[in-house]
Amino acid sequence: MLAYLDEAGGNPGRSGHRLSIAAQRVVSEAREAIAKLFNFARPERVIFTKNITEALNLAISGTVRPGERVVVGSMEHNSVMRPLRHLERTMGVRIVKVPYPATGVPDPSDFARLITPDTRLVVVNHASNVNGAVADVEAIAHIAHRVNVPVLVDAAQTAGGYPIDLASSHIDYLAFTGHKGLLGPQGTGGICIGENVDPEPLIMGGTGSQSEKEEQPRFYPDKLESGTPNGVGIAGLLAGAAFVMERGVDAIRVHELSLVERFEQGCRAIPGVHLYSPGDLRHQVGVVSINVEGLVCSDVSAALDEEFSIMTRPGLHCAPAAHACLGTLPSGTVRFSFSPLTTADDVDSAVAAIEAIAAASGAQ
Amino acid sequence: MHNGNDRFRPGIITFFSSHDAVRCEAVLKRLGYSAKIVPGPKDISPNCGIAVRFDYSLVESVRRDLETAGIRFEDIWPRDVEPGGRAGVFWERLRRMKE
Repeated sequence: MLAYLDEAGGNPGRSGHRLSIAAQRVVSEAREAIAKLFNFARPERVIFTKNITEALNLAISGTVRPGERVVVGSMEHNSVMRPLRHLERTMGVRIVKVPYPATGVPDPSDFARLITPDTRLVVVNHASNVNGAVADVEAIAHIAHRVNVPVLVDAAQTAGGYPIDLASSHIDYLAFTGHKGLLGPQGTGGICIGENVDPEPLIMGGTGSQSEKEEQPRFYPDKLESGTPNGVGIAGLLAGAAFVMERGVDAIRVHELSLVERFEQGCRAIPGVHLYSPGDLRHQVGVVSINVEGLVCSDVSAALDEEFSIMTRPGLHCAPAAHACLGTLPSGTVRFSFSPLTTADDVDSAVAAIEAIAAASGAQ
Repeated sequence: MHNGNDRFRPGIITFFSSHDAVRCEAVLKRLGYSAKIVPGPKDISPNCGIAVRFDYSLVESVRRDLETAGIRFEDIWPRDVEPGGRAGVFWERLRRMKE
């Protein structure tokens, strides 16, 4: 990012001067890197947005028309549920929620029952930001493909930490954020748009192309990317994606799962600690939610930060649907996240801190 | 909670937006109050993720000053006002264990 500010920093695609060209190179390289990471054959259909929320809004608003039917999972974030509820209220869009078990891991056959040929879009969270539960999105996309219904996958928790292969699946929209598993900065994200879908743009304006026309270009990526992009952020996203590819998504997954296992084993040995995990590491990513008996989650999180310098997120994690599924609405949970840079020592420190907090809770 | 002052009676101000919480803390500090941003206690409000902790014995003047300053807040709550309240005991025990 510093190199981008020092050596590039022109407006990508807007001019032919050296700083603009240098900036355009970075943005194009980032598009190629993201395409490579997800084995996606069309880098020009990798669209950068300011975050995954915008990417999800783009796919939803650009696809669904008044009165149409949308099938959605039960572990969705509000970045999916709020746009859908807005369309329900303003355009009479019909939302059908697929019931999930309390583990948060869906049975794809439940999607099969509800994805009808008149469904306009299926939206499913690849992994929960509350308890890390993974949905078999390939199986769900396969089911939807049989009746020609496009599928939007929210990969906020999986991009960079869980294998995703767009060439071998029927996923039409893959939305990702830069600031989690891709190790990029906040304010970056995007969406891979498959060849069989062509959403309307969410934002229209200058693209540096077809400037003589007042109509939005129809070609990618310009159709869906207007205005000056977050060049410096995308440079950071490129560096993060390069790190992920160098280390390897499979190796990152093995590392994160070993940490999750260590953490969960530690927590299970502490009386009064409740885990909300799917119960099977094959269906989990590096996100774990807990509660400590006798304490509200916000006090646990405050104690972890103030007394042990361990930073967690308490509450509902902008995902009331997921908490309803897990049975933790409205009280919420304390969420721990593990990354490629987290170590076993970090996990042991967290477990020791939780043990001290549970002992001090007085519930035992 | 645990500011080291036995007579400190914690109160919590909750907000709809974290923007207001940050403004509230700045205004209260400027007016000489003790104020600190903390995670929003989930047992009292599902709203904004952060809240402001302050000395509840000053609740009336705090409320007045926030209204005068035009700071939008959801509500003001006593927090473990009774000595030995549940969360108060927790923090005391935790600090003792750490010493």
